[in-house]
Amino acid sequence: MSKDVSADGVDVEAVMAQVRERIAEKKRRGLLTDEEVREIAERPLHPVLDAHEFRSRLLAELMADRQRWGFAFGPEHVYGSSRGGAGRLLERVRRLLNPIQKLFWNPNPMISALSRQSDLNQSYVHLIHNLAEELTRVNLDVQDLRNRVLQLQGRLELHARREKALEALLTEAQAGAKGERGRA
Amino acid sequence: MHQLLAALSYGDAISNEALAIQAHLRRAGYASDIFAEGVHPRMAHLARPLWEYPDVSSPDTVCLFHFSIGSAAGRLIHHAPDRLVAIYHNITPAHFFMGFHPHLAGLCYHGRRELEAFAPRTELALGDSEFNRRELEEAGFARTAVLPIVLDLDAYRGPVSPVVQRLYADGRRNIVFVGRVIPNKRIDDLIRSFALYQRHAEPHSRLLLVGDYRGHERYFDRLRELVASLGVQEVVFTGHVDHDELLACYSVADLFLCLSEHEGFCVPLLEAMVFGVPVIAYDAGAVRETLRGGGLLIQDKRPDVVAELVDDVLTRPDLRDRVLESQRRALAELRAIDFGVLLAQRLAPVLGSPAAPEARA
Repeated sequence: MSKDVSADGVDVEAVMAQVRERIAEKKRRGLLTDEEVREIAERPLHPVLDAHEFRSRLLAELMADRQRWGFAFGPEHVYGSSRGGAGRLLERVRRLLNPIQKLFWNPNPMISALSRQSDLNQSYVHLIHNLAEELTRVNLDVQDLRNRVLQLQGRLELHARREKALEALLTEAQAGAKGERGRA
Repeated sequence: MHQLLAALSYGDAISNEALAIQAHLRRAGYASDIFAEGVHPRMAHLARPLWEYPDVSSPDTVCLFHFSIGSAAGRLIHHAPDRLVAIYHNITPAHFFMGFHPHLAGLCYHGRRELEAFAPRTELALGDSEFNRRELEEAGFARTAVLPIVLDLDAYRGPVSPVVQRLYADGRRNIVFVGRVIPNKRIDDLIRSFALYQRHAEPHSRLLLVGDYRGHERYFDRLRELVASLGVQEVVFTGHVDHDELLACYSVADLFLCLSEHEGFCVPLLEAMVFGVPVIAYDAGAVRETLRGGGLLIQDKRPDVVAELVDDVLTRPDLRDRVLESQRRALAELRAIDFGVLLAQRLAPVLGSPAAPEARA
């Protein structure tokens, strides 16, 4: 238990002992619970992130796994094989048969489309990153503006209360002045 | 002997101290002006602009510099040939501002490095509490002493704002704290304790938080969220108040509660005593010294304990009277201090000796 100290003439140890005893009594009677105290004491006060301090890690994460989206696509990928020496032989055979295959369908437009898609993917990654960053900043700015509105609302309420107090004072002063005139 | 300040504000304890020092120095026959970077319009006739300081600067001039972080006054005096006396009002540790004001956290962090840079340049360093003096010693200042802030009690005899008085003297129990709304003051702990007090002891009560929150809006927003989430009623953030409004807030206060975790002096504790308001304060920083044995100094600030203690002081007249009696004794002790004599004693090592060569720029 912590030691409490204070002024001459006030036995704070005794006062605090009584305080703790009364808290224990309240808890025994169910008027106060440990959960309620803990819930209040431990309710966090979340730190705030400023819009200007926000840095998205999305781009770094995407760049780290470049193979997922940053593929290159050319004719060699259509004929290529990953089976080592046998694969190289297979690739040669495929190329040799290419003119015959072209009688059935032409792979060149597909190769060209996939190549363009590869370029587009890079642009999309940057676009998504910038959008996520901007959107988060806008969200933080909106939150900030909402807070400012609430601050102004608080000030306005305070001024309204002051205004009422001022009116009441004025009414009292006028009533007092009338009373004095009446007595005179 | 001149003084340098970052700002001469109206009603501010440090500014009042600077004016008191000036009055005593002038009475002692010294030419003494105050030079400040920023001057409140109402104080304009009492200070000279900082850029005029080079006119009086010389190796024979003694400059009393009220240390403040990142100020132009600091840069100026650090490179000036004058004999330097630093007056230290403390720097809040940076960690309190992390998450709420990163820029200020950085300033406070570098401020302590800046303070250390002044150590070899300073002939005498004065802290306004023993707590501050120890920090000066830790920062490497060779010659240190305590020069406490002595209140000008006449300043509290002025008229109070009738509007503010009317606003809050409505029969509710007013628990008051005065100070800027900044994280080290732990306003959140005040709200937590007050939530329990209002729920279990006195529903007809109010927490009056008197102090500026400009520049600390993020912390302020989090506090308002806390108030809303706890469902507490009548937590009033007054924002910046004028002097007559401040007096009115003290005049309607039933109790002054301070749960701050870092204070270099804490003038409002003394102000509450002047107004006969019982004080409960958490034992941190220079709070114990400032209270001088008055009020109730606690080391356990769990919200249930504080709420119960507040109720105790407000409902037990015998306890309240004893607390007020202790505060009257502390105030009497404070009143007995002759600031002029104390100032002369503290400055004697500098005034009585020519400039120490190693301490010169």
